Amino acid sequence: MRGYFWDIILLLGLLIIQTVILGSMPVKMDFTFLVIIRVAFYASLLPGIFFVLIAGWLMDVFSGNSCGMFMLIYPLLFLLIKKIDRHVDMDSFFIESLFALIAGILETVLIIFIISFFYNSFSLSIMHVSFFIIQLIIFSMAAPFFIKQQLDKSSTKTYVVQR
Amino acid sequence: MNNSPSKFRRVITVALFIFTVLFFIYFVFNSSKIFKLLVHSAMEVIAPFQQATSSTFNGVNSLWDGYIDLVSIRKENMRLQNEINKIRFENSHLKELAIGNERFRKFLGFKKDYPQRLIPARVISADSAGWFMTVIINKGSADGIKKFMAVINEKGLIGRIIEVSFNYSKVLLITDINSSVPVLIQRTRSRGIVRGNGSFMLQLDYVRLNQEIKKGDIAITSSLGGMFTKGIPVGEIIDVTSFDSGLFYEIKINPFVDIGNIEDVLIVLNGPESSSITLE
Repeated sequence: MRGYFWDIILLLGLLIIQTVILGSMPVKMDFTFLVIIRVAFYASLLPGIFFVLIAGWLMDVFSGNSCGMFMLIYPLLFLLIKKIDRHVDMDSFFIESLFALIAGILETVLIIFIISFFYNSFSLSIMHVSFFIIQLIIFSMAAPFFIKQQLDKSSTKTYVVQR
Repeated sequence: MNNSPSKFRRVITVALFIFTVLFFIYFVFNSSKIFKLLVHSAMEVIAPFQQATSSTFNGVNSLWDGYIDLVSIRKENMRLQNEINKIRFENSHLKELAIGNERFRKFLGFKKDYPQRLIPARVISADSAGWFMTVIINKGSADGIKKFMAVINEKGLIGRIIEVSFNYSKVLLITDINSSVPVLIQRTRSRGIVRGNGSFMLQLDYVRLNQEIKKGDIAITSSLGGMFTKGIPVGEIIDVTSFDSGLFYEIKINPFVDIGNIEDVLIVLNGPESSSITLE
């Protein structure tokens, strides 16, 4: 429960940073998705789903979309990460970065798919492509710091379960 | 041990089912009062933190700017820039009034009137996702803001209000993919719809090929659709393409407002019913 509390604070903090400070910059970043990855690594399924639904809803409230896009994407990716993380050994910065990069690409692809589906006038511009490439690079570099911290805490528990 | 994968699959199925249902509930109740109340509460709780962060960030930023720049030159430059913007806005507005007056004097009895009540607001945060173009401003229903009011600055149209809580409102920028604004080409009086496409440019649709359109023409809002006051400058045409097989031009517009750098805005409190020229 304490973990969730700090993750909610982290989520709100990142949401405020990305809407206020990063909002004035040309490159936008979805740092709140880092919290989703982080939660997917330690949360049990139903509380985790509940958490990511709330996170998705908050993202929807503070973005211009009216179709509940993040409320759909976050739980989907949460489940996917939860399914995959059992088979991946997060033992190096590179693996963690790669994992976050793939998750970020999946998020971007889902976003583009949903936006294209709901909004006919949307066209993927060079601006979009350039900002999501920069976003993915920064995102994958930052992710290990979020994941690692959680893995360090839960590593003992993980080993006990495996034995 | 063998049961665990199937158990996991079952739980995944249940979870998928739950959030699919929730997703559809979201759709169904999107416009319900309870849902709106939740959205407004979230805005009221989080926006003050955004405002505080924004003020701190802007404070630090301007302190830095002030330190780096030569203060007097910067001030003078800003004053002149504001002067140019003001003159351009007035010029466009006067042109619009002149054209309107001249035409309407000939035909019908139109009443000239521009009693716009504007209230200033400050942008406190941008879109959370980056894929959409919205901003949150620090004025809400307590200040008389209502949904669909036009948001402008001294350069022209910025967007319209799409969500209002007690102290804060969400503005849909004209460049957003959800935005469409009925416009007139100031010179030719051709009508069209300006749409956002998610970039910092706009596209102008439904201008028929029999109209004479050229680069440099100015698009202004028309009161068609009942959302915007007539005559607010929107942008300048930068590219016109026509196809033999098509009915309409493909037109690109550069908005007058620098959408990426909006800090202060004005909200037009009275809607298009009190637009500059009213048919009686």
